[in-house]
Amino acid sequence: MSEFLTLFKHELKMQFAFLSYNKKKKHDILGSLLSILLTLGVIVLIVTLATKIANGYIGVKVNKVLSPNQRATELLNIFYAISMVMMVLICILKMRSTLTIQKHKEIYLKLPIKEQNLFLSKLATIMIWNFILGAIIILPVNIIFYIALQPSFVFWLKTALVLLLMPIVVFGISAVLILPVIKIVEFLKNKYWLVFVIFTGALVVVFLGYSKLLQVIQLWLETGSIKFLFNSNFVNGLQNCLKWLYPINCFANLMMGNKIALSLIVILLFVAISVAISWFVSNRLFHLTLYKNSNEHKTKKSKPKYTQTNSILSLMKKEFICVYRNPSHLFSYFTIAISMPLIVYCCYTLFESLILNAFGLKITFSLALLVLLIFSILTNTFCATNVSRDGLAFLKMKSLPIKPAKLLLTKILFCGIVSTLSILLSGIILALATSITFVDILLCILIVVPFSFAQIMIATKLDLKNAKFLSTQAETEAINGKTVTKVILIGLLVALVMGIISVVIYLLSQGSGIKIISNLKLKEIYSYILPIVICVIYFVCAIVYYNHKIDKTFDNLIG
Amino acid sequence: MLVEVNGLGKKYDKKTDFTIKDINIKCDGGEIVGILGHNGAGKSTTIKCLTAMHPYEEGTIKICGHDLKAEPIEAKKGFGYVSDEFVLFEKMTGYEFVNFLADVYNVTKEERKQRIEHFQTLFMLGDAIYNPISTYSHGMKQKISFMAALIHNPKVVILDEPFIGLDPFTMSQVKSFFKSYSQQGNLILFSSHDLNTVQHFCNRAYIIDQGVLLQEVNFEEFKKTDVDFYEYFLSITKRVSKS
Repeated sequence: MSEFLTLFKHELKMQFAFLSYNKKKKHDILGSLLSILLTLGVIVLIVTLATKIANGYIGVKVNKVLSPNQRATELLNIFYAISMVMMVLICILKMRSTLTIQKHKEIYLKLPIKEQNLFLSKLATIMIWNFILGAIIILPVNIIFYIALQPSFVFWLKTALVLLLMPIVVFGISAVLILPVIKIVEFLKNKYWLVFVIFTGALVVVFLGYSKLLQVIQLWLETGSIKFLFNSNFVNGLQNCLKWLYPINCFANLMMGNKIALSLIVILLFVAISVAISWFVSNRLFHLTLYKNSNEHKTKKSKPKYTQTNSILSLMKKEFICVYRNPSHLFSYFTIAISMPLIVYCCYTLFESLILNAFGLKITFSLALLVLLIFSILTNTFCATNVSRDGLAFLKMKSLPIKPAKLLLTKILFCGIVSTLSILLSGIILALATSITFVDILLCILIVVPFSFAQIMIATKLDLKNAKFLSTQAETEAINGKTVTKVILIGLLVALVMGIISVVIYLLSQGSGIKIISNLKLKEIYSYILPIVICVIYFVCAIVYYNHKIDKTFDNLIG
Repeated sequence: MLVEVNGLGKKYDKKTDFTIKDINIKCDGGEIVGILGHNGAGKSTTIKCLTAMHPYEEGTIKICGHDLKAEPIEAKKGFGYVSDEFVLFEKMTGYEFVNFLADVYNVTKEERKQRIEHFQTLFMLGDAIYNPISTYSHGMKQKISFMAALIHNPKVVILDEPFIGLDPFTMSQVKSFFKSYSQQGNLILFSSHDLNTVQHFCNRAYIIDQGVLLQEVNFEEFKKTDVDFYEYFLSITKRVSKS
């Protein structure tokens, strides 16, 4: 028992390491603060929206009959379904990292510990993770319903029961789904092109869904009613789906006091099946991984030809390989870069119509500039790890006969090419699909490309100055997060100054009744000239900052 | 002289004392020279200064006649380096990594083909060289590091604790390769705390302790004395064994 407890405590510490605070470590306080603010903002937004939707939906009449309890049950079903999908996805990831990757298995295998205790400690940690996750996701949903319906105290007893049982069912569903997930991951291993296509496709689908949601919200804000979406056809269709949605509908029925006994029996049956499945699958996965040689690899049949390449091209090829073959880097750089045109287009059209409705004005150049600037910052965030993502291998490069300027130039060029292509494509799409003129788009591109290069140079230099190399990539990325925050903040500040000045000048010059700038007869020129001037200043500052003691900074870097 | 170090001093923090101080090393082609010391003696720091991975505050380093600070590119072209951590770009294949370094050193297509194939056989890498480095074992990474360091046929090979983790057969092959490589007029300079390896593999050794160069040992001369090298090493590093 003590062996299990020791292992369990160790496992808990590892899984929840992100919660521990080390006074000696330099923390990215600004970054953490931003993350907390962003998370709180998202939660407030979701809760507000969910409450509004709930109120709107509960008021829907089917066949001219108002049935608040029935509508509330349907709504709870939907919320629980979304919550459960989220929980299952997170649980699959947790199961994969805990049971099938097993970071420290070499150490454990050498220790005189029982395998079963190690397995139980991992299983218990996953379960605790699920309970915490359940509380974080389900509790706000139930709080919303408590506020909306004001039920009796029993509601909280039933909530406790749901919080206890739903994570077990989630574990069972995840245990079934993890098997195909593992197969798919195995299949995709080293198929980088396919991974790229899947990532891009997924991001595009998510973004299209998001923009559709934004359109609905926009329509909702404009009409002040959500009934255009929730009509009786919608409710009837939903009811047909929900009656087959086991065991989610049972959880919702239990909470709303419908068919309590039957719901409880079905839930307990699901719990029993889940316990059996999750035990069997976890046990099998754990033991298969424990004795599997993680270094096994199929050797390629086709051998590459011997080629000689110029060192700059070779360095850029190395950069490409290191990003392309790392799924996390592939997503955070190439996928974001390739999806940027679509995101830019959706945001542009959305803001354009919002401004048109709010001010009665059609802004093209200034808005396109602002959107392009903000999304180029998003793409270039990745460049804040230009040095640190190489890890200790970057230090090894110091012993090679390459000038620091040349080595760093290849990194900047590589990022610059990706960023420029992304900006060009975004510009072309805006020019073709919106009312903005080609001249305006050309001017936007001429401003955003140097801005992007300036951003890459600043990011690279900041990373060179502050890079710390630790033994694992995850630790290295965590400790260098501060640079990422700085790069985003600097870029956003300049982009907002440039973009917003341009938008505001345009609004002041065109706005009904204000017309301050129009009297100066320079309204158009102001909204073009000012961003250009700021961009040139920013670009020159970036070059000066980048080149300042670059060789010395490179030489002094010891990680 | 292929490697000439005069009065080398390095401190990691301006406020603290020197980690290594007044290190003087002179080595020429045809030699295998060891830098010997306990853990934390300053061997790796010396090697890292020699390979430009760490900046140094005092002294000069010349490699193949080129000053490391004044002519860094020329000096770096003269050596190949294998670090103790076998740090490689894990997403590249072994072949891609070696080929990348061959590009950096401007090795011709014919030369790299001949060398890669030679090392592939010597280190018994086979087709595993075409697999990603992330799938390699410790020993495999070591072998790729050796290949990468030797791809441009350098006059000086600098190795930091190179034999840890190699199986006996590969170790003996690597040692005999480096012996023959040094006999071609090249210099092998390596750090180690393994007295046995240094004694039997090197012509000379520099003993470092607490950042200071204590002694230079010529093993040809030393073998003529009846002194046990292990006892000698402990006595001069003032850590006489309790037994």
